[in-house]
Amino acid sequence: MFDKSRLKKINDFLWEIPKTFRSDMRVPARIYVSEKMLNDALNDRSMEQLVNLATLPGIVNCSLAMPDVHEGYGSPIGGVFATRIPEGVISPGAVGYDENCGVRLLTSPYFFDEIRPRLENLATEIQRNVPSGLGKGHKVKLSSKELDKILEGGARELVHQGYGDQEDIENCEANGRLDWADSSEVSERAKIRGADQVGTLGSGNHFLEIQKIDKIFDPAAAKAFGLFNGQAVIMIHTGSRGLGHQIATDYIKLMLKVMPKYGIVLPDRELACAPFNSPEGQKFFKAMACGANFAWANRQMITYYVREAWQKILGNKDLKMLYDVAHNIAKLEDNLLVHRKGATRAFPPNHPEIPEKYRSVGQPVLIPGSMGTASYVLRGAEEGKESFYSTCHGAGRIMSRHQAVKTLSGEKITEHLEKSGIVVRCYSMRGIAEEAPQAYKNIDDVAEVVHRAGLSKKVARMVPAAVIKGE
Amino acid sequence: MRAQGDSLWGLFESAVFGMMEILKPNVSAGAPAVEEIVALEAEDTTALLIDFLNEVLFFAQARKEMYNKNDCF
Repeated sequence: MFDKSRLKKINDFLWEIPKTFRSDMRVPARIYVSEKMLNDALNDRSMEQLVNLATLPGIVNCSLAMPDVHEGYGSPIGGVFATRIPEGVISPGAVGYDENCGVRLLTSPYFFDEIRPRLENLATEIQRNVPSGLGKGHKVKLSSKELDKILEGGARELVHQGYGDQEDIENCEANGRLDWADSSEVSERAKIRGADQVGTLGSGNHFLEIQKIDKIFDPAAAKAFGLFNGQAVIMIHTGSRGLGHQIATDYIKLMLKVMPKYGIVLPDRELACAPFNSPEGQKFFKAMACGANFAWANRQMITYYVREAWQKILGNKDLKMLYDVAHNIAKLEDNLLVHRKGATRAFPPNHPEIPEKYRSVGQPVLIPGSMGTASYVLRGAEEGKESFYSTCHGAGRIMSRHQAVKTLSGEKITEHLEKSGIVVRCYSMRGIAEEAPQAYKNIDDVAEVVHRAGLSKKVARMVPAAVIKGE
Repeated sequence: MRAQGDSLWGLFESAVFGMMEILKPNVSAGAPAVEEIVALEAEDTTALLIDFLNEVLFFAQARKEMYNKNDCF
């Protein structure tokens, strides 16, 4: 447990570990959290990992943790930092193994009550149409050439092939494609793992939910986003699957090998890195962009399958894309290389990278809750500048998967959810236990902290009606 | 996941089976045995374990295979 007395309170929602805490820190470390949530943040190794981020060569201002912070590989999940380019470092471990794990929200024109009679059928059809299991392939197995097109073209490539419409691209972060992606920097192994995984949900905390909007906090922003109280929406949470995992694996190994050449010494080898302008840094940046493009294509293909299921049950494909945003990524923003791992970009109003129709209110920020709990739509705000325009990404674990499986019963949790009127579709009871709401922080508390800290502002809250999970 | 063994070999074995358990619980026995020789070099045992698990994960995912005590090691 991290010693609370070593933290300096900046304000009710911001605490600091001063640079003097450890001699190898280059900048202070800061955490956005309320007094109420502070103990959860101090309970695991996440503060030590946040301090480790503060030692990275080229880091500017401070390392940052969001209120949903918890221990991860190298960097805490909920960790954000920026390095000066070109000499600052890029670290695969600080992006995460699931590159561009992210969230997409589809809106329907219906009140939830209108689709309620068909909810069970809809959930069953979506589960049938969207493959979910870890490593389990589906209908599409891409050739090497086809996969390269996805790696360099992202969701945009799939829309060009007919798996979506123009609005899907316009409303996606980076329009669904990072243009510096270079598929020649992605290993054959990664390509083998990705060849049959476009359009697959995956396991762990990935899910699909049919949700109902139960609260509007900001009517003007909700209107701009096309949201209304009682509306049925669909949330998709998944990432780059085995392909992204293999890219991270390959480049962590490469970075470990080359660090001595660049004189980089780290307190934790899991943060293995190289200067951004080095050949290895550039290779990873291009490969990571392929992983990100693959993830956007994955969510696009899933969108296509969900629309097919929707049409089969409800007779139309009226699902519009509100937004799609990455949680695990490194990007050049304002002449800095911003790493976000388990954190969401939240650009303020009038930012040129926001779709024109949202520009006056700010970027949509999509925050999934834990299974059976609420999710949020927020919007970016100017005060977010101090966090490199970043905010939280979810509820954040307080219990390891192992502990959850040991102490919680998937059957009982399913029974409880179904008694609350939530339809559950999951092949594995173990998966249910791992992702039980008890294993996570309270999403309402997390959203409240980022709202009050000004990192992003609450627009709407959704409650789950049907949960479709990977194995 | 927490893995333990009374030797390096035992630790690696436990870690692989633990990972398999996470990937696909309740794997049924009886599938034909497969054999793969894995040669890895790493600067210490932690790195070697990670590389080894990544290697097994790749085979499991690429070939849609699962490994249990009857057909592994």
